[in-house]
Amino acid sequence: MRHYEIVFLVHPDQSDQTSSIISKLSALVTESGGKVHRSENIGNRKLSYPIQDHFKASYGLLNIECNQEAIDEIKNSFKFNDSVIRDLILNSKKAQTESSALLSQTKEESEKESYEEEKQKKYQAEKVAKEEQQQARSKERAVASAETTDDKKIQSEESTSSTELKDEPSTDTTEK
Amino acid sequence: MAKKQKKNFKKRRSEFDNRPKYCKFTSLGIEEVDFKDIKLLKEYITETGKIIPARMTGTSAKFQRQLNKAVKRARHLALIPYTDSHYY
Repeated sequence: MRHYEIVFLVHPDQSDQTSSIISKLSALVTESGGKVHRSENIGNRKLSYPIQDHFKASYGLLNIECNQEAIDEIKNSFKFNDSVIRDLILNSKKAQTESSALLSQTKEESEKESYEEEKQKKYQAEKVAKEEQQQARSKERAVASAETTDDKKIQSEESTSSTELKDEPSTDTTEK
Repeated sequence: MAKKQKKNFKKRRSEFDNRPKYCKFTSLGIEEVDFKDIKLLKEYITETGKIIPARMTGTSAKFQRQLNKAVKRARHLALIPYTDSHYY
């Protein structure tokens, strides 16, 4: 009986399968007379480089104690399971039962991401509100300028061509 | 004039070179370097993804060997990039 540490990446479209794979492996280990010391479903993580053109994958972690036959079977199952993109099986000296650093760090990262997303949403909402305000203001200005130009028309009936030229830019601003 | 300036010229050292050198792993009492601890591993990697030599960081030889393996394992699992020029 030896201690092993297993990490595997699951295809992002089949990320629901990570928990089922973990339960399958742990059942296999316990049937062969081994022990499961730690099993973690870490969940989706952004990959630092694309694997098979995928940018995300869900991680699973297992620390087990089992015999050679069981570990061979696990290796075989990884080989013929298409949903497992990548795996790593290591011998370890001790049984590790504390929660891993990977789990806590992924949690932190996901929290950060969600916070930033919220921030961006807020910022965009503010932007939209500002634009609406500006549009309203420009409309008011256009109305005011139109009124002033009308007054001018009345005042100077002889030079109508020049007032028409003044009108044109004001109409443009309303369109914008 | 140029010669005079050269005489007083001091070798420029970046902040990275000037920081105190000590082995973090021995001082913290870490038994084995964990390949899953990405935050810790990223301290020992350059921007381009290379492993920083022990003479720069001051890690002891024992832990530098462990660090080497841990970084390579983390790269295999896409926790750390191999280079900075992975296509996206």
